[in-house]
Amino acid sequence: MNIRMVREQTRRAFSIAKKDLRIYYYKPPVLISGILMPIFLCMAFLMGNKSVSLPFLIAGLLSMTLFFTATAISPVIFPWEGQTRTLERLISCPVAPESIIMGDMIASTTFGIAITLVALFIGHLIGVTVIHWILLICSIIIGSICFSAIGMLLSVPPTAVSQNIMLLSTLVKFPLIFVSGIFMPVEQMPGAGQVIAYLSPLTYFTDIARFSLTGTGYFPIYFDFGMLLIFTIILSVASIVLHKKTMPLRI
Amino acid sequence: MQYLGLTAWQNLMFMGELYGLNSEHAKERTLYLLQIFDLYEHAQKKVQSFSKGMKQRLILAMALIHEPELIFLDEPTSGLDVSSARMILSMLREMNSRGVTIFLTTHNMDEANSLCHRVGIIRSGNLIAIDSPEKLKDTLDKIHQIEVSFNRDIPEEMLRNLPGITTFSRFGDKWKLSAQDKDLAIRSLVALSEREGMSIISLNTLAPTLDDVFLRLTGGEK
Repeated sequence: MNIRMVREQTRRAFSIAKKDLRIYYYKPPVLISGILMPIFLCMAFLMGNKSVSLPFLIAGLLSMTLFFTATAISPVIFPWEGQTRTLERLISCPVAPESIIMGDMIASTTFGIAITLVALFIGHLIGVTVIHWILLICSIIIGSICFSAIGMLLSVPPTAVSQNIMLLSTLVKFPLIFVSGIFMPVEQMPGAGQVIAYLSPLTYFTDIARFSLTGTGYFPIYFDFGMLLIFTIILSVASIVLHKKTMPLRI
Repeated sequence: MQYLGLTAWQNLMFMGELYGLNSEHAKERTLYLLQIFDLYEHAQKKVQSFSKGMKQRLILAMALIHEPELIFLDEPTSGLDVSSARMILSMLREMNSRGVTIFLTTHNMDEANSLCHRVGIIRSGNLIAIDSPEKLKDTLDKIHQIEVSFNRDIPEEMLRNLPGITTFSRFGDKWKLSAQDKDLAIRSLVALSEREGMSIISLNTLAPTLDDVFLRLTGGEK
């Protein structure tokens, strides 16, 4: 594939992202639930543990918001489009499978970043100050790509029944929240919990968010970024490879 | 299929972008197609509010956004109102006259007969015949059907030994004849009427339709 083709396919990926945002994301229920769900989870956490500091809580809120929004819709786009046969139309166009997957990921990443910035603004309104702005913004961008790739991986099974994917999604997403140092810092977890925390990309984003808001983190900051980048690359490549295999089975 | 959550304009622009049209060209084509498919007034409405005919017209417009030289259409007028069906058929004729090759899948034999230069008949996944509609009809039966009625009843014997006529049977006040040589059979009937002092009230040659061809070739005719 030469540079001109890469540029053309990138343009098509952005067109698909624009279509996804218009159809699946710019909907009041989606936008509202994207903001409200993490807030409610944080409030529940605060009620049960009033000793937690506000920056610690907001760092957790940012992690959950980014994770939930970036993985909210992306897992069900493929089943929906398979069911309505629009995927068939998409595939019949001169669009590479990679562009379709990248398009869905771009939409999911954009949505994740936008809603997380709203959560950050809410944190700012209630008095939380950001110590490391650049680190935080960079981590939100990388984290959003990484979590979108998780969302895309969840939609790999070639089913047109979106409920099946939603169930799988819930089974994967909620346990990850509890093992990624959001409610309990990694250093306070038991040994086995710490091992699992190492395997979750959400752990590293949460650590960067906490470092950006409180000035202290569990891992060195370069390690957090390194791990987040490695997860992003592995998950994105896996998502593209697996979707290319299952895409023909959806037609 | 089109995206129900997008407007007609957005669907066409999206297709234009996927086919690599630049923004100006995509807008130009979108505008043109919305106008010729009579969708311009509905350009900013979401497709979910469209009737079936409008959706089908939009699908065809989306297929034409990049000015293809070859298109495949599957039952393009199936289930449509007369006006939408006619609009689509006239568009197909117009496109074909401009040199676009169209592959049309249809169960509607009248449509195939009136639109297609060549018709292929598929049975159980195998192409069992392909030719122009008229040639298909011609090869179906070498025996021609003729329907004739006279101004008075005639006995069977009069028809029995007429040159060119193979079989005959009475249907009400008419006779249905089969003949291998149509011309000879008609001449014999005219000669008979003159000889017996009768006049012919009606005489029709019944050409096989594409329906007959289809039924015969696919074994649907019992």
